[in-house]
Amino acid sequence: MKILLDYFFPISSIDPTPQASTAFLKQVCVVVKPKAGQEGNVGQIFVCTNMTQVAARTDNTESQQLFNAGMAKVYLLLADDLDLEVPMDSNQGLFYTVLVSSDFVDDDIVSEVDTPAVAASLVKADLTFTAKTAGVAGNSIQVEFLDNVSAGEETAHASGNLITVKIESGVSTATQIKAAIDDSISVQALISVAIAAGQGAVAQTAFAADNLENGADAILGAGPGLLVGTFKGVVGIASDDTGVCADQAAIANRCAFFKKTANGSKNLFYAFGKLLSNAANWSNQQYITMPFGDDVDELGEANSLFDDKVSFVISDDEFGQRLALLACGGKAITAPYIKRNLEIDLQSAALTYISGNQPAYTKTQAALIEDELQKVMDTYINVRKWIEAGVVEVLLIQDNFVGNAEMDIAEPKAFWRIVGEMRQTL
Amino acid sequence: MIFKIYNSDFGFKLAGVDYTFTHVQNMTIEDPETNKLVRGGNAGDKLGLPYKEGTKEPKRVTCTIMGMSKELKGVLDEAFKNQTRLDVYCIDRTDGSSKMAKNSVLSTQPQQLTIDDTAESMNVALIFESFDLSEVHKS
Repeated sequence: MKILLDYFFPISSIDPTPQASTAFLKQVCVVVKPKAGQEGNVGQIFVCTNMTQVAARTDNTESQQLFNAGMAKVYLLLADDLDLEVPMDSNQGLFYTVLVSSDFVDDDIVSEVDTPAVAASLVKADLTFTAKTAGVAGNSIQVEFLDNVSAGEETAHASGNLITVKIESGVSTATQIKAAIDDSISVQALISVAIAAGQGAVAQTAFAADNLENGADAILGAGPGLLVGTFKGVVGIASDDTGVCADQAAIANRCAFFKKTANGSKNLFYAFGKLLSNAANWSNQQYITMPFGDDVDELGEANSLFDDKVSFVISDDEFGQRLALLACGGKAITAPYIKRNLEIDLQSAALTYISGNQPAYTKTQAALIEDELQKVMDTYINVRKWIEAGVVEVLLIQDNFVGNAEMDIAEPKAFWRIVGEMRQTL
Repeated sequence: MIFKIYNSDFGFKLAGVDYTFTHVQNMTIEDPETNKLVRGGNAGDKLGLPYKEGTKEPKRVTCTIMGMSKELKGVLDEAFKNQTRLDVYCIDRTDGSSKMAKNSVLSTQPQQLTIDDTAESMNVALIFESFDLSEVHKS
């Protein structure tokens, strides 16, 4: 064994940690449904570098737009619904963007879709009995008219779900019967009664116990909605419903793209492909040419989508299909990426300095670390021009081991439109 | 907050590595940037027009150290030869206040200019030039 050199002159080297990678910020995961034979792979993520690999997993072809836009690879997540908590939690650090394909519809995306409950009812001659509580439970309520009192002495009583009304059959009027029902607390707890217009004076006849019917419970969405667990990146969805788009666009780190049904999520995919395939910069993709039109060709509709910060493509006779807005949670599309990029660079710079210099816990070293972090900020401000301003302060508040850093940055913003006023004064 | 030399640490950072000066005689800073006022010969108003002078000239930081180790000489010689950017600092160790010349270059070859029997002969004047001077007060 060669031991003389290490015996003579042992050297221990201190290697600073290398700079952390931010490559994952440019990667995207597409959520699609599995094709026949791939059902066993639901919940798994596959790396695809071409459409042949994509086609082996799913029939959805929208990933083609990502490749067309310049992406070299996409992650493909096979899913039956949009409860993505488990695959997201177990694949942190592979990608920072998740795009939902048109395999999934609005009901899959939105947490709840309410079809209201229907109250059970029963129509007998000129009287309509309606359950107070909507739902199928109302179908078990029964009403019977017994002929065993004189007209004017009607009474009503509920025992469990059976409502008994005592009348004089053929004599007691609808108005008299309703009055008896309205006077009964036990009956009022179960039903209300209405008289057909103009029929209050018409005599009613006795009948055997009969059930209310057609009561139905509320119907919620088929799935749990879009759930991403601890995933902190950007999620993109597309919908042809402007209401759904507006609701989704307000969610932090959520990009809602208005689409025409026939196009599916193609424009959403293409726009993100252009954003993420730029290896050197984060740019907001203002007015880039888009491959498909989504029938937004009226100013009113465009303004409405813009006001809701819904991303969309505008169709113009002269300029063709143009991306008219790409936003995320009401902010510039680049904002979450730049912030995360900055976080990683700050963490990396501090780690590199500490691992390379093995500093003591002193105010001098805190000032030097602060300077290293401020350099990162200054690069973002002066060189990359990704943020307008940023300040770092490192303080030693605790006794040992841990410093506290406070950072303030200006929010990255995007310039999309100009509103002008021209006065004829000359 | 006033910097006192007996409370201060001096040194520079190069490529993320911190080098300290063990013995420092003093640090002086020359900043040629000044705000000036001028007005027309007709003395139109009493406000005048403000402008800056000296913005094209760098700030000069002279750090006079005593003694220079072989390691330090080697690093500074390379920095001078390659015009490597470094950050020179004076940091108050009691509260972390700092004066820094960032992205500076060594203006002159670091060397001992006088050899005699006085203490001053051990001085080496390190002259740095920078356009990015900062002073942060923590108290």
